[in-house]
Amino acid sequence: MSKPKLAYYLAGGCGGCDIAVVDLAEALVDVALALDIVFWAPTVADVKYKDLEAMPDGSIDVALFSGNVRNSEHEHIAKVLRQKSKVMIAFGICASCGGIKGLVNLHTTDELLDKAYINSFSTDNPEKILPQTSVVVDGKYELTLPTLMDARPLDEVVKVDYYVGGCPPYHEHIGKAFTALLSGQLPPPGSWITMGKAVCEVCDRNPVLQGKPKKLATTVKRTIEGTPTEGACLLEEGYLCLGPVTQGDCGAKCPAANIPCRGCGGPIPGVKDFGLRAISAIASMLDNEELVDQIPDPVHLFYRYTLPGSFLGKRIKR
Amino acid sequence: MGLKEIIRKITQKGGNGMKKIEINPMTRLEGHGKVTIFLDENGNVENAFLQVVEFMGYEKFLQGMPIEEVPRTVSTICGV
Repeated sequence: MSKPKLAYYLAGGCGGCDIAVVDLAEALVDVALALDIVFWAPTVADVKYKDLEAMPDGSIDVALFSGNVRNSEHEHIAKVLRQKSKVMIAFGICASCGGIKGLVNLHTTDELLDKAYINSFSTDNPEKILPQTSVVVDGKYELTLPTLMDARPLDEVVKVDYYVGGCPPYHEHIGKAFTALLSGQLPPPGSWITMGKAVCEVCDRNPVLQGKPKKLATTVKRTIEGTPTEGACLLEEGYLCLGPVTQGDCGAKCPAANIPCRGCGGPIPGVKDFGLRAISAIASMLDNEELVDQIPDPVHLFYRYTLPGSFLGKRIKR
Repeated sequence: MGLKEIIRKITQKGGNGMKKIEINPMTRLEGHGKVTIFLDENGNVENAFLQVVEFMGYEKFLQGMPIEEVPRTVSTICGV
């Protein structure tokens, strides 16, 4: 039997998901031997977009798509990959829900370009030159750039078969996902590949797992305020941890290091809008209503990884 | 495939009858880049351009975020 063909594309992401695959370490050798890598751009294989476009439809068994869809090039390759692949996986939180880079949807493209290219402290651009989708240099060299768009999760562009959360996905979880993939033991199409437990359910700090009652938070603290009590629930101490609503395939690594969860794992099963559920969960764990006003910068907290895929999606542009 | 054939395969018409070679994407690196090479009538390189086709916007969307949250957020500018 021929090996399953794998394609991997990094769109509007950072390459962290690629590195997480490398973090499989020795297991990567087995994975690499079991698969035939036909496309891995731009990070690994020297296969160009034109080569991908020339492949027969449906010839790729599994395509992993990391990063969100942020410009016309990402959108084009997403559509091409979908056409060439039998199974398409949104790999990592950017492809699944929009990711940190999806926070661009809080602003218009003009605002973003203005800050980056004209009005930032370290920029010297007196002629106010901005990136153009098409330009002719010296009257004869025609150059093009992709068109910028609002960030979108992959499923707003093409049909997605499976989702893998995490920023990046935890390497042990990737190992399990590959095993499921290679053995054909996958959940129904359209679902997340996850063990289905929240971060709290695998967190050593969870008082419920220690047989103690869960207390409400009586203060709201920033992570720079004080040091959490060893072994105590961060949320009880007032550090806003999104563990209750986040998939815990990471094994609750951040809380173990005194860092509250920010939700990169994606929503626990059955939740469509992570931010809304997080707001509801945190509100129900605060002792009184006044504490709500003390939550610093709610949008960057509750929607840090999931804004484009949420019901809000983006700021209304007038 | 010989070198001449490869060049014939990847070249296309650029502006003003010039030939243009586009290397898209640049591979074995993190980030999206494109190289465009323009050849004159004799097939020699006349000019070449490197373009970074990605734009992120961290400068703007980080505004308002508590400073202690910034390090774990900007680690996604490049995850390699």
